[in-house]
Amino acid sequence: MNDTLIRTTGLAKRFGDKVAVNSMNLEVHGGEIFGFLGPNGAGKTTTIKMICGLLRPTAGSAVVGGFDIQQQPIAAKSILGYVPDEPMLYEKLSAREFLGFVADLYNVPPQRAEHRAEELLKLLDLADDADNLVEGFSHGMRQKMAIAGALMHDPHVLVLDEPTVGLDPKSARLVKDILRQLAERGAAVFLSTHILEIAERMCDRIGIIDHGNLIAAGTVEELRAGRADQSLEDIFLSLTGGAEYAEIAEVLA
Amino acid sequence: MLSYVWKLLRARWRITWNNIWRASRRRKIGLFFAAFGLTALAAFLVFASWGILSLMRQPEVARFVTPDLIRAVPVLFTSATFLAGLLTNFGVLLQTLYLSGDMEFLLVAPVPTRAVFVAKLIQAVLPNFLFMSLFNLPALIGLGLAQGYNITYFVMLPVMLVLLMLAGGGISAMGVMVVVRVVPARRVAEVLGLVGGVISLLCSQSSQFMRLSGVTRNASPTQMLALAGTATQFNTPYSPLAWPGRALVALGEGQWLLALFLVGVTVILTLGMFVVSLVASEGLYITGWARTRSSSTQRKVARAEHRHAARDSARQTNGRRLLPAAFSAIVAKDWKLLTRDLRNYSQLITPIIFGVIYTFSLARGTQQMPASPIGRQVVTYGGLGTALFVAWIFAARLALGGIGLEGKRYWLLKVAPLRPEVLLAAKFAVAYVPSLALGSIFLVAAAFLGRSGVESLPYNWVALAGTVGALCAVYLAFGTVGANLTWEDPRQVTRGTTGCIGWIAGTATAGIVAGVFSGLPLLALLGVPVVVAQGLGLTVGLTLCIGVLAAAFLLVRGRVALIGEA
Repeated sequence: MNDTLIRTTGLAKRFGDKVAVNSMNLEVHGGEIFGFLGPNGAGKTTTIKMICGLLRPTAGSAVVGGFDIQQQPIAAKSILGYVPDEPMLYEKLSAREFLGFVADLYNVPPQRAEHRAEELLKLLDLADDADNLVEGFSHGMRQKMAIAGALMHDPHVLVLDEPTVGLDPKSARLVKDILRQLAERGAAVFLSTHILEIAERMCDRIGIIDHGNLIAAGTVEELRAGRADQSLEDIFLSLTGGAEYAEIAEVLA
Repeated sequence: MLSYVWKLLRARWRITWNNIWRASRRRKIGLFFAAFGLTALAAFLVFASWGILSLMRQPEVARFVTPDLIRAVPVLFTSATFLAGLLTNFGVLLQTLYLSGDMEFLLVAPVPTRAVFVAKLIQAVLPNFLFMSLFNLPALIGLGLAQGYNITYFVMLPVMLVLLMLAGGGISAMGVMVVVRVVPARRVAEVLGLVGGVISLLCSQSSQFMRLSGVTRNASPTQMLALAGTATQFNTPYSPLAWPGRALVALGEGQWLLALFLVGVTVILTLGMFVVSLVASEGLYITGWARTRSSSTQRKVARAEHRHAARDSARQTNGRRLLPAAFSAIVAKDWKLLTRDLRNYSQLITPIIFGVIYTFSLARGTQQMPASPIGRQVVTYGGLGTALFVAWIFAARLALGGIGLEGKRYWLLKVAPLRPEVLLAAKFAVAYVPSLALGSIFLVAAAFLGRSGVESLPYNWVALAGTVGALCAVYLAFGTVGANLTWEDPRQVTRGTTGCIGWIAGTATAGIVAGVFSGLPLLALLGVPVVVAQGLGLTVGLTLCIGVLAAAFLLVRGRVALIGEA
């Protein structure tokens, strides 16, 4: 097993009286893809934002690559890449300018940044639009730009919030391949998704969060223990209390 | 189709109603007083115009206010309504028809496009119409009362105004639809923002322009008569614009045959224009809207690759960088974003126009060096005031909104390994350098155009550089604490209270620092050598600036990590 690249200890976040994330303990190791599942409003994005340093936890800590994201933010963020659920980018920068900007923020040497940007633009099928302003990009293109930006500095830890939303099948497949390659090169990939098929096929381990609590974590086989005939969807629904909706759906059908 | 229009308008009415009914008590009270105030204003305007027009029958003014001029008033008002409908609705319609967030939802629903268009048109035109009616209607009712017009005038008056507004709105909508087929809707909105901002500023400063051009305020009787003659020239029977107004006068005076003809022509023309715009909308609207969705901006960034290559070669040549890469990246990025979005120009051009006006005012007023020592001092350091004024508005825009302008894109900076001081320094540079550059231009212009002479320039420039630095630091500090990253309107990049306190704090800082810089040299009047007085001014002033700058950075540094926290 590789080193632990993401570790949360007692990570919690409250918004007033509402507990968004409750004392979460989890570990993601180098070389693995960790799928983070949960119903809407379960606390996935809040957890991700705390791991990336976008939100301060109310309690506990998130450690990235051995660096506490709150205590040593610069060191932690230097090895972290993040792709948000909604790719809000600078509308008036071109794709190439945007990647150049990100490279400078992460101190990527200019020549390497240039080479890397061209590589990523080609890889993500954005080369033809490299000098167009982002304002004219579709949602999928923006999503690919956000992914390219997160990969510019070759991160050791990549955190993605719903990375395949808005991508066409070809791009979605490409992103999956990129994530797998990153993991094979020793990076830790942490992704949240609603698409259970992606989680089942891609992820080495899966964590399920509900009402702010991590209610299950392990490989698909471990989650399936004692119920070999069930799919990940069945397991997910039985854990998060959505099984009754499947019955209602059957009646309606 | 009408049932769909009704459904769509009912939904809009429900949203408006919810905004009022579900608002906080404070807002409800505010709205009540606003409604009460507007009603009172309308009533006042009715009585004011009635009273004024009645007074105009007095012999002293009757020679200026002829019956022809009185008859021309409705023509002027109705023409203004039509033209205002044509011009003011363009921007609103652009937003409503093409840039509103509900279009996808509406166009996938089984609702005729024409119904969506009509509902959107009414929804855009109605607020403008109500606003204009607040002034038009009372004035014309007052005129009718003063002239003793019969009841048909009062009945047909709102009908005519509605028809004119609809016609103006319809033509405006066609204009929008045609323009959007050629230029992307967002680009048109940016250009409109720029043009609107400049025009409103020029209008607000028109009295200054008139003063500079030597136009006197008190018109002679001959000029008054000429003005009255110009107004009556609009009331010509051959101008379609005059027909609605003439129809109203004919109705009021009981010239039934003429009234019937003119009302008929007006109704046919205005409804005709509206119907044509409706028919045109069927094809133009949907294709134009589809274009805003599907077309990507083909505008390549000018000479991007050349610049890119140049930048890289410069990097290779320079070897090591003098400044942190993140600092340069943020400064370059902000500069590009500011200069590429035309909406920013309308705000940034404001201080430039103010500066030009006041520099010329200063220059005109200081052709001769005053004889008194205090007057000489005022002239010597007066240029600093104008330059500082220009830099102040510029700095407020750039520094106070420096962090907030990042908006929802701030996540990029927050997840990056960026030290707070680098971010603050970059945002400071983005505000400071252009503000100082612009201020310096005006300072030099004031020195050469006025009589202050160039000998005061070095001192004034150092004073300007220091004051603008302190000003930017204070604004940036408040902009960091009060950054609003969820803004939809770029004017709301800083939270209200913090922004307001920031403005006051910045203004106070500028006043104190500039006061020290320009006040201490006045010691020369008490016999202190000029060099000593200026040296004292520079020492105390610059110490104060550095103190303000350091305090602002130290106080706000710890707050950077909290930006964007829910």
